[in-house]
Amino acid sequence: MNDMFSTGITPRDYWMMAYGAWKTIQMTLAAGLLATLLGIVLGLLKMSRFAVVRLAVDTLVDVLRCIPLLVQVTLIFSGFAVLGAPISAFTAGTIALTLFAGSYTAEVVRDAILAVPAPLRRAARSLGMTARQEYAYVVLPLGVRQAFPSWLGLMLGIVKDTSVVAVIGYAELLKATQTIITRTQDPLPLLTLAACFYFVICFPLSMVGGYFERSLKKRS
Amino acid sequence: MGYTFQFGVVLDALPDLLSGAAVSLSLAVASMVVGMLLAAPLAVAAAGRNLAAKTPARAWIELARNTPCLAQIYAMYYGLGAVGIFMPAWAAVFLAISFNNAGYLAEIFRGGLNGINANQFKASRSLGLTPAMAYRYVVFPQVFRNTYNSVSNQFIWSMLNTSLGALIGLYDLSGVAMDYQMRTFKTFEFFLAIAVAYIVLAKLIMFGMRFLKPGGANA
Amino acid sequence: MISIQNVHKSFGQLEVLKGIDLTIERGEVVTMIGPSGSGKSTLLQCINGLETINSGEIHVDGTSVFAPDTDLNKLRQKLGIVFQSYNAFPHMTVQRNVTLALRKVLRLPRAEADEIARRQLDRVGLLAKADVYPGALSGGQQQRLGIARALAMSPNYMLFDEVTSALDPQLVGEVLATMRDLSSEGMTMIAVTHEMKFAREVADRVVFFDKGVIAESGNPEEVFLSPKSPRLKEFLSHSQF
Repeated sequence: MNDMFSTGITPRDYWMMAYGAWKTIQMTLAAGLLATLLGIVLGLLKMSRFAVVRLAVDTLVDVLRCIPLLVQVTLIFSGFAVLGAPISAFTAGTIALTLFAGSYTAEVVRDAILAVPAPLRRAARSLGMTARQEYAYVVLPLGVRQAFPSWLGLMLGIVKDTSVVAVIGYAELLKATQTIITRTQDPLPLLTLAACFYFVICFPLSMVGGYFERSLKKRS
Repeated sequence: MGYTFQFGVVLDALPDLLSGAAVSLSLAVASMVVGMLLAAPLAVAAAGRNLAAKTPARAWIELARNTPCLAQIYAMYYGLGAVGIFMPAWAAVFLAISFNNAGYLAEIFRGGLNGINANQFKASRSLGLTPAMAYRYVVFPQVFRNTYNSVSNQFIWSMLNTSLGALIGLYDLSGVAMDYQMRTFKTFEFFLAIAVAYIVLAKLIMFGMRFLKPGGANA
Repeated sequence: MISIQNVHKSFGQLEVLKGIDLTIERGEVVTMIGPSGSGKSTLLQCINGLETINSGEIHVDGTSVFAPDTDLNKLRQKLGIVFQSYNAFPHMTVQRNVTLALRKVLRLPRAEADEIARRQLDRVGLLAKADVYPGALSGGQQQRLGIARALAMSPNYMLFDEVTSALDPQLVGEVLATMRDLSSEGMTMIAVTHEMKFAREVADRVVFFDKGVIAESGNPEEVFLSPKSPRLKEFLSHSQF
């Protein structure tokens, strides 16, 4: 009987983990893209002329930042279910991560736009550029450079935060790992392997972000 | 209109929810305090030139920042269990989030240390203060003030992260909600209630942090 | 007595002190003059071990500064130093700046530390500012705070490292006046300065540094009125005293 439950780690288990890793990547890409778009929209709305709009966005961002992702995921998943339109764990997780990361991205976007020196923008307008041209040729290139390190940090946050979506049964990497551990009762090798996966993705990219951040500081 | 919201069951669970909130808040505070105490020497070591201190400090910081907090909690709970160290869920969550906070805060402090004029340290030493005293009384109070916003954010993160403890059976706000959801199937109601509770806790933390901000202007 | 014997110091390839010998007796006021980068400030910071030396010896009241068994923290209590950059602790009130070392290093009770601080702040004319933060002080006031902070430890020696160099011209006078008061009270002082008039008036002895060596020294009248070396002559020709 012992044999049946603690046969140790089988090749199938590694396959299951690899599949979990793939699901982690899928959700990261989907949520990363959507969070970036949402962040840009919210970031621009944060600078709206209308105080009501600014207040609404600020409140939304504030609320999203004060609730654990685990709770947000569960709320969205069960919320759609009680409304009679159940969605998949993938969709619910992606929506939750998009909202969560998007609220942080909004801040990054706003800071990046504010970081473009006002005299530079006035200079652009004085050359006869339209507001749209000013954004396209001055604010965007400078702002993107400013925002890149923080934005990258947020995307890496999504990689790690996908692990939380396990709570609604999405079998991403860490969930798959934990499932195998429950059976094999041999957590060390698998946990180490899973940690390595996150580290190998996040560490080099965070180095890249740090490099850009330093070179940005040097130039200014 | 198939579904009727029932918040009555949530009210019935109020005592458990309150004790859950106390668990969440106290774990957040405790792991933040420990995290700060660990982060200060980590930041000094990581910013310094002594490789014997710098290498482990950097390893800690990068490991804490580049793996999911949930994986860190699992490592404490299952991982240490595998080598014969068993602990209750709250202890694993406390250790893991302290480890996590220390890594993030050390990186924040390291940036802050760069902003402090080296002469502040020199002036402290000239008065006969030991290096430890100079860091304790002169350098870190200024680092703390200059990084105050980032530290406050980390405090909020610390609180949000405690919710992950529910996945190893911690009876915090999230753990209580999960427990009741299994008994009552009122998932949405319970999680909406604790969402509000978490917002209250976050505001409480921000309010409390205001009293810790040191005075004076920048150097 | 501070005795400096054959002190050499390099920053990488650059040798900034090339064999310095100097003795300062208790009660003496010594001013150090010379071009920028001549090594004056470096020597001053070597005396209390804030900078290390490559060879030679420095003794303060018989204690070797760089001996491995010397308690530098204890030794530094004998040596007050005021820097060119103000170095007030910005997160503490003026009074707390002064009491910090009294409380933490000398472990004095709060009431006693406060009393000493207020006495020293009064001495430099800052008592009225005891409860404000240094950010609200002028540069001259911050330097006087630096002096009070050092004096509070009742040092045997006061070292001044170009304390007026970073000040606006109209603020120089108040700091020099405080230093004059100190010298007339019999404090042993070593002051690196670019204020030639001050260097001449206040000093018992003037030391001229040039390119890492003491090129000339003597009483102020000798050094300022009949300089011997051509380098000193040239240096003085650029300044008013």
